[in-house]
Amino acid sequence: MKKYVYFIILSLSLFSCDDFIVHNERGVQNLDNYFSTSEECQTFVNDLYKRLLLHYDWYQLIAPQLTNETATDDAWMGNTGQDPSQLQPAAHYVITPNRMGYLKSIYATRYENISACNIAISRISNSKILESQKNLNLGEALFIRAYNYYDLVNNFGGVPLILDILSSNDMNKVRATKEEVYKQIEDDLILAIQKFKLLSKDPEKGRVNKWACYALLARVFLFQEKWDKAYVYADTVITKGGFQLESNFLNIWNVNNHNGVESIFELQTSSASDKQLGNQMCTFAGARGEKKENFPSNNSDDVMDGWGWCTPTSDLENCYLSEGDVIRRRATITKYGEAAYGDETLNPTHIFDLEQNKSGRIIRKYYIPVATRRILVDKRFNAPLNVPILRLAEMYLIRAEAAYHLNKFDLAMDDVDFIRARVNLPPKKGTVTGVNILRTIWKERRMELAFEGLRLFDIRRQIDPQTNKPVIASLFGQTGSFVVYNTQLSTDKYETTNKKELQDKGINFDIAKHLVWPIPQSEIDRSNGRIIQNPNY
Amino acid sequence: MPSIVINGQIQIKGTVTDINREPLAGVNVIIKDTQKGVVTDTDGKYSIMVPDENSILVFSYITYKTVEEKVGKRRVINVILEEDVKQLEEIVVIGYGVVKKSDLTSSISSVKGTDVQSMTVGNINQSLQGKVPGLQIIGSGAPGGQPKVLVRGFSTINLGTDPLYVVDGIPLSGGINFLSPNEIENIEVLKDASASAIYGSRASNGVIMVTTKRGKEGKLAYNLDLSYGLQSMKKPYNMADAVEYAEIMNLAALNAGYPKVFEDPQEYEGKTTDWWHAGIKETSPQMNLSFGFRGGNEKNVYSANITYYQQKSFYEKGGYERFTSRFTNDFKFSKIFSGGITLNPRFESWGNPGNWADFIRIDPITPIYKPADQLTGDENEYSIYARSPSYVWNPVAAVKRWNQKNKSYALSTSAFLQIQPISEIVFRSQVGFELDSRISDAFYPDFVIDAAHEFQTYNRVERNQPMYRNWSLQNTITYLKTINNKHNITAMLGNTLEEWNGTSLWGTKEKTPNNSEELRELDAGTLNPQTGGTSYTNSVMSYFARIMYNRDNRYYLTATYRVDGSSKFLEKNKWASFPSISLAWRISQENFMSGIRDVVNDLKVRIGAGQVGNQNLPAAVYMSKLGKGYYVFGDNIVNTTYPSAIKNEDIKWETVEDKNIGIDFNLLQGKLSGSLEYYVKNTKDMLFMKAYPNYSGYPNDAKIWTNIGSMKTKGVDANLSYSEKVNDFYFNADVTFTTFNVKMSSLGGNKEPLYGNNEKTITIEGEEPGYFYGYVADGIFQNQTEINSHTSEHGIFLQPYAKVGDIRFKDINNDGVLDANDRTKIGSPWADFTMGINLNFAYKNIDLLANFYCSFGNNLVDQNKNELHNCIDKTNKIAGLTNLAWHGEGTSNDIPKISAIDNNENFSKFSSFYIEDGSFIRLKNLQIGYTFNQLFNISKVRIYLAGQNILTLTKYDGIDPEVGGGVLGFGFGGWDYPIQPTFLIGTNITF
Repeated sequence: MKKYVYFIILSLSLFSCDDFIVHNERGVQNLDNYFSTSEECQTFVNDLYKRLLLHYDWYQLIAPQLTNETATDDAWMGNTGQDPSQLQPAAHYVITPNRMGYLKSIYATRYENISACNIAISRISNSKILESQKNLNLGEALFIRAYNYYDLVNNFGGVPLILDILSSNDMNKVRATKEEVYKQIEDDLILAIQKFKLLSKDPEKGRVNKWACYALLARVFLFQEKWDKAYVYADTVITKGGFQLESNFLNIWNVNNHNGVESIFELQTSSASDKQLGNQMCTFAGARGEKKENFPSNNSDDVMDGWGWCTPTSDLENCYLSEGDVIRRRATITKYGEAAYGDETLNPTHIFDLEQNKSGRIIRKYYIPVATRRILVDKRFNAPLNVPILRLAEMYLIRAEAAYHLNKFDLAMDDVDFIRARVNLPPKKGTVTGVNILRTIWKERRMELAFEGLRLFDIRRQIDPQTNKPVIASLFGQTGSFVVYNTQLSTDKYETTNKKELQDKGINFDIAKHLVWPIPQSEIDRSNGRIIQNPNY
Repeated sequence: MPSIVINGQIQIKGTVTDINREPLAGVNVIIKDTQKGVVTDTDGKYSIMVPDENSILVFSYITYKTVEEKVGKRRVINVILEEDVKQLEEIVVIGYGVVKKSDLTSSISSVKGTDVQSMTVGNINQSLQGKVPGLQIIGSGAPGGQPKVLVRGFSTINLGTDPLYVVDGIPLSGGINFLSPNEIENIEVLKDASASAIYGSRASNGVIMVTTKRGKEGKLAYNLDLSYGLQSMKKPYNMADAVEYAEIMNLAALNAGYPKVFEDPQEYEGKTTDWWHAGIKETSPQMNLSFGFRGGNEKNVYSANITYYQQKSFYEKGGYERFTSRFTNDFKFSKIFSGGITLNPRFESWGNPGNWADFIRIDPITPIYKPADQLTGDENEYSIYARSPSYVWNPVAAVKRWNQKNKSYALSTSAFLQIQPISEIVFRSQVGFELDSRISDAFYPDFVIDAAHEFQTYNRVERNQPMYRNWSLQNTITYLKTINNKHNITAMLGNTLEEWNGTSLWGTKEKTPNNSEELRELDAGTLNPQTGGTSYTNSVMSYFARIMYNRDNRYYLTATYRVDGSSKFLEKNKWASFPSISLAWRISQENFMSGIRDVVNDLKVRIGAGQVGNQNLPAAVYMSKLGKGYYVFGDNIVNTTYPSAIKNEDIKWETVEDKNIGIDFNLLQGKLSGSLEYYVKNTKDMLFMKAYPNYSGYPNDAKIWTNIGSMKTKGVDANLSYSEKVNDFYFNADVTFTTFNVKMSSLGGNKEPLYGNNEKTITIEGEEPGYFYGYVADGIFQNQTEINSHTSEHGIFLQPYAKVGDIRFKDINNDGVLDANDRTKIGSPWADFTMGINLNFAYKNIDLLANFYCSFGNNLVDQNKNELHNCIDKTNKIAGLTNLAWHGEGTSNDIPKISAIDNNENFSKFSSFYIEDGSFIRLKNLQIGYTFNQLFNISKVRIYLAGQNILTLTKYDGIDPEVGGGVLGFGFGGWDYPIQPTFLIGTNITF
């Protein structure tokens, strides 16, 4: 019997190899052993670009950016056929930390990209790859981090400055001041320029280069009213960057002109059907209720039904009309029944559902021409329209505005006229003086850069010389000019008859709080109150 | 007829059966006060000589109540023996062994298979509800749905709270949906750590041990059970008709300053689209067929059971289907060797559309089909449906398109070998292997209902084939010894290896040439081929020991120790140990009790403490992972990688410490019995997917697996059972009662509160976890004066956008500002107690059974209140809303004014507006049966009528008061799949 007992004891002790309980996850790469080759570094940095605007995903950043347009005098929420409650809190200034609509996702999404930049910067600095690639990748990551902070500071004011890889024990951060955030943006961009300067050749098309850094610096200096620096950086891009204005304004948003001569930096798209790298702004802001009968072809392939959010205001149209600016008006706004500018043959009378469009207008800049529609496998996911982030015309307008504040009035008006000349408008130099020069520059900015993500930040930062308050306060509120125009003066046949979006948009604007958006309540809660809410929210 | 008298004796004959009229073999038939007796044969027949008519026959049989019959004039005495549920010699299955119930030192509840077979259900847990004290079950009505099971509340706040299921000694990795109630012999619920610590790391949510039917010595016995039923699906809300909908939308627009939506609502008179009846069947069938047999001799016993269960969905398509079979064979090779094998092949198929709520939500004006003038004739069969302006996709069209099938082909096998070289030592080795091969097919046809929103450009075909292979090996050696007839010792030593493997492979393609049935294969797709797949392994290795000692069957001690190593943690945290100890004192065995032993048959006090663990989290959370994608520069498409998960290298076991004290009693010869227990559970290093601030930049909304703080759960569970038999009348009442009270005893780190469900619940140190956290709705502003007086001391409006008819929210902290700091506790999702009442009556051949279940004192969030009343969207609203909602001073103090804008955040603020009383009482099962004996030579035929879930009393206005959820998001009711009343007819045949 004893042998059984021995057998049993033996078999009990048989297995005790620890390998049995060691299993890593399969099929995914481990971040800890990553960044060992050039390819790994580059592949990681590639994604930072993708998440800069996430233009292939309509929700996370596109919807907030277009919602911001609706919080200005340029755009209505626009779609009057559907529930607008994700845009309404911002567009009609009834936003609360608890109800931010589409704006809620900016905060977390930007920080996700910042965190990835921090990982790239820290890990690539210590990796053993070629110096040249290290410089390229670090430059790219620094620029993208700076862009994310630029967007955060303009939406929310000062935010926590996160520059390292955070462990879960580091969650004791507080908000930095707006000035500290801008300082970091400047530092990152200047360091990025140094990295790019070490490269022997320019990065490939579509990547960030030193001119993109100069250009973004020019913008953030302007926003901070550092006029001399804004002037110098914009000037450097204009004079040394080798960019030139597109002779045809419409070519800036052309599916066949990616990374054109005017483009300093733009987000890239592709119509490859299995990659989903299209620009979904084209759907989000596209005309709603197109029908094949309304195209000469009577072909359903020509129809690209959009969602019809964010439609241009007659107020913006009037701005162009007042200057006789046909080219930019038509390149920015398509009015119901007008030919799609530049697509007159295939879409001679752009017709959409007026019942569902507040203003009878749609944005032309994000329009996909009919010929392209016909070859897309999927019109929503494959629209190959790049998104300009920085382009030369803005540099001229920055230089002009900076020049004005540096009392170089003639130089300022030269730049304005240069931009006007491209769209066949007569020069204005000599016709305006004093603060009207500044107003002319601002008006030019509005007409040139409409729907490119700048209007809201501009009207928040521009100080009206008459009132000494931000321009936004003159537009909105009970007596705001935009509100008064819409509620009392406007005779626009679309806007005044389609009252499914209220005409008094902006009447609830309150300067005590609305110069920045609230921080999402979830962030206040999760930080246990260390992150402090913006005033009066 | 003259009786046969030999030597002054009388011959008595008869048959002994159980209450089901099944013959009982081996029953002892003894003449009282003598040693003389016989045993019944396999047909339950006996024959015995008694001295005279004053003789008394005693019929006794293990686990049955003993019956005494005076002979008198009778010569044939047929006896029905009744099972003694509370019989002291009842055997209870514990981890890696069995003990006599009287020797239990820990908290274990047993349920007999026959008690769960009284209901026709997909998942056994649905019929366990209310039958086990300490077990809380939240039902699921969906075909194939898995109810949520809580053993004594919950001990963890983020992981699954489902207990570990052990079937025939083999611990499983998931639920027990695959088991048919007909396969079950009995179920044991291990509730405290002193019972479950032997399962160490797997046992923190309790253990449910299922013993399936195995062979029995004796005559081959067959049973056949059939039931057929209809589930009834009533429309849960009465919704507005077309005219009222149009009126509501117009009023909403008017109150928001918008123009009319519908020119003349009256023109829709009689034009309401009856979506509900266009897609939802009022009744859908359910059936269960089960056939089994068992038999054997002393060398070999065997059993087989085959069950088919089918539950159709209430859509035109889909449902749940299960075919299970189980074959067991146990052998006694010799005095030393014995063994057994179980085979359990099975097939399951499930899937149904999930859009039933859309049939209620969609507006009543949109017709089902596009009007003829909108059709061009080019449309395929999926594109002829109308688009609703409500954002709700046409539900009839969605069901028409629906084409998905999930199938599982599985085989579980287990085998054991037992060696008993000397009577004191038993070695047992058990191996279990489970293979589950699944195929999920889906086809999404192309269609255009609305070119901007409701369309699919190309059709898509999809196949997903995961395969799971799990195995376990357990070895135990047990030593049993009785010394001096006083000291009884059982010692056990063992180890186990468990491994769970999975592989997956999926593929999808678009644009098959058309939507025809034969082309719904990947091979037919022409566009965007995509494929993927991976594999995983998780494993646990364990060693354990147990010693059980008792002296004189009075004083008991059990101690266990288990060590587990898991692949889910890094080296430093891989291993953990789980000890337990329990003591019992059987007071009734003491001499001083002997005087009242007739009244107090058994009385026992138990006390125990132990530790169990939890490692039930995803694999490799200690690793930061990369996701991948694409980007493009110019025309150059490139690969990208991004952080998809951030690691926590310090992740370690969650530990539950548990203390338990209980008393078991059995009074008045088993007429009254029960138990009462008090328990305290303390969970440490709780595993939780914590939401960090978003500035961390962590992916997945900054949620990471983290060990946080401790939680304390305490409560009482009790069970009282009373039975009475008077002549032909039998009555049994069984009441179970459970409370649990839980609080966060500490939160780690900086003691930051934890939030759940988008910050709608909060968990603070020292308070109960996951309570509802929001604003207090303080009625409706009836007039402008009320708004004007709702201001700060400086006269600033607390609610600047409020208009009359909007909700007034309370400034809880009285700081003159209504902001996030005014959120407070507005309700608790946790019941004060749950109770089950199970009644059985029998009179002659008629039996009646009723099971009630109730839950008291919990709140629920009625999330549907938003959609049914909030007019900013265009979904249909509840009928009568124009009157229900505020429409003038004094008309309502609850439902705000109808409006298409909600600037006051009446609905978007999470407030007490949504909180309702969640208490309910439900009649789970009502059954009446009639038994025919010897009908057509069949030994027993019982037919019954049953109604399941036919009555529910609750104040909750939502779909169904049985609402589950994760611990920090518990009690949020919405469009839950309702538990449907079911009416059944069935029969049980034994022959």
